[in-house]
Amino acid sequence: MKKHLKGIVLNIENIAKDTVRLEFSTPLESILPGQFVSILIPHKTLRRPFSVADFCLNSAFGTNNRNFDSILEENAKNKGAITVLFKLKGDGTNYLKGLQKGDMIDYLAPLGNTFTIPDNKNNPKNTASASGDITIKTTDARGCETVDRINQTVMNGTKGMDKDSEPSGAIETKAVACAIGVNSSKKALLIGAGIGIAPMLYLKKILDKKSISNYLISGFKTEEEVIKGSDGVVIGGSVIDKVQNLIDEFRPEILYSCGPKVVLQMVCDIAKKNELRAEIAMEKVMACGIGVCRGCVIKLEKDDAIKNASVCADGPVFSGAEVIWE
Amino acid sequence: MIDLSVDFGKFYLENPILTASGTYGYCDEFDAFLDVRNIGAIVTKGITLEERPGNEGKRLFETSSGLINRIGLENIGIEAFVNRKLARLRKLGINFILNIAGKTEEDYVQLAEISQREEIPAIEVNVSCPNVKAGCLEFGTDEKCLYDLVSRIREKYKGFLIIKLTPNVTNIEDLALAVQNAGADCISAINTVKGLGVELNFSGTKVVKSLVQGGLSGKCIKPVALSMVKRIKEVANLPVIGLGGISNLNDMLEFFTVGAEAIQIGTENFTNPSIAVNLAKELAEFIVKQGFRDLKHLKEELRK
Repeated sequence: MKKHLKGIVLNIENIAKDTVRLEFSTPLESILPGQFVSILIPHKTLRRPFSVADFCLNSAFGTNNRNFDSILEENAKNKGAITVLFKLKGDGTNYLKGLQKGDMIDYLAPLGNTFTIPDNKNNPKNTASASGDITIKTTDARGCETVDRINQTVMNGTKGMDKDSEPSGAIETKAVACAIGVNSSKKALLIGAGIGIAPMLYLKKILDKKSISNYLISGFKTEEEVIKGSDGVVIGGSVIDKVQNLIDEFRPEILYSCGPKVVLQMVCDIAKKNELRAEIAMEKVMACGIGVCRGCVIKLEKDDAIKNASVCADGPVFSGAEVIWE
Repeated sequence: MIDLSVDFGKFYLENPILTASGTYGYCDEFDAFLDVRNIGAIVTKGITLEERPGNEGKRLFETSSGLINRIGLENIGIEAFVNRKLARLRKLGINFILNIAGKTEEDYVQLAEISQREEIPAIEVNVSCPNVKAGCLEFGTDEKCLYDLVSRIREKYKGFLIIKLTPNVTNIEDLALAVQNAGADCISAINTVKGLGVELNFSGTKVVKSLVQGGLSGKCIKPVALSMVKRIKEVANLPVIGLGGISNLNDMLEFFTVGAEAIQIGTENFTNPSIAVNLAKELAEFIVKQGFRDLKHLKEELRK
């Protein structure tokens, strides 16, 4: 059930060039991957939608959070924390960048739909340990469990790459993946492009929790813009160039993606070619965020009929095969 | 309980705060944020005879203190409204006004007949639509055309008839009088103001531009709306429901001052989904705090 809520900024930090991670308290007890929050920006007409990049529900975190109860009465009920990521773009994101710990956030949540999660039955290689991933589980300062993958570290270690000798500027994903011993079977392939990585990170966390083997490949324009958390990273080139290889190697059942329209369109094309289901999280300027204003509609083709769907309420996650691209 | 009621004779409001057409859908989404029965009345999304898919391409453009939209009246059509939405509105006891729009006079007449048949208590007529048979000039911009349209609707519909005037005219007074002479019960003003949003993106010398021509709403149009309401009230005796950029108690009081009996909240519903109910509470508290007897007393003092 969507609600109009208030939370307190628990953490705000730069995590990459022009990229900010914002964490705020919430009374919600759950939120699904793909869902988004719509944050009020003072003096702007429209709220700004942000995909959930992480959600934690943790009593240890709650104790720290109590310091803010004097700022916001409702905060006593806020036992959870929502994380969003954003790229500095306009007035809205620049306002948010200026927030500090303890500042109040007015938001609507949870909004939108979620991804279909495949079941993990009948797959002998479905657990993280069985699939051969090397993972380090840590507990962060807030008491939230985080999973840092070794291969991410490997990726970050490829600094100083000679861009001239690699025209696309891309890291050879496949080689790196093999080097760290990734098993050749993954149920889900997640493709993030730029800030579109946000919902992919939260989806990955949920898939991991459900022991559904998965691989997240992300693409960024420059090394400075890389957001951590992927299994494989492409810098400079197109993340799409790596997707066919990954499909051939991992034989996923489903592709998930979020990013610019051009990337999503290519993900859908690749999915079609490989006869795979693709679920994509879309973005459009929104006014109401709840399906009433019809400002953010796209066209879907379903059962041979073309009909409108609002990104905010019918989406933001759509089956790639149904989307009609403008 | 402070009396906030507005009695139009044919139509009664518990409080003077309505939600504007196009910002509240068919009232089936906002339950999550507030008790919609506490709103004076909700005005439905504009309904046409047939279902409409709305405009292609970009539909929204945010401006300084405002919003341009070109939704293009995407709606489910009158029959689907009657079959799927009407029963729910009635069952929940939501006070509502049906907003109707058409491409020809005949469209409006049929919608009026259906509204009469379904005993819909109040309708608001959007006259900012292009009249296909008159070279696509908007119905609401020509007094003769508007008079004919309202007269024909009036013949078929006996309930509370509100005409929503467009501000995109030179002499709003003439149009208000045309509506009055044709037998309408009420005027709502204003609809959106014509506006253009221009977005430019450069990649070296290559320019990618996006032009969004549509209706401007939000805080920036409030002075236009106040002026229009005042000018209408100076010539017409019909009650006026004011709208255009209202987002707080003071805005509402300004509209009462220039003669509005009730007001509608539009774009602000997107920013603050519980505003309609909150404003009713604030208004009641304000009346008590200042020592007015009721809403009528407050309006009298504002208009002295």
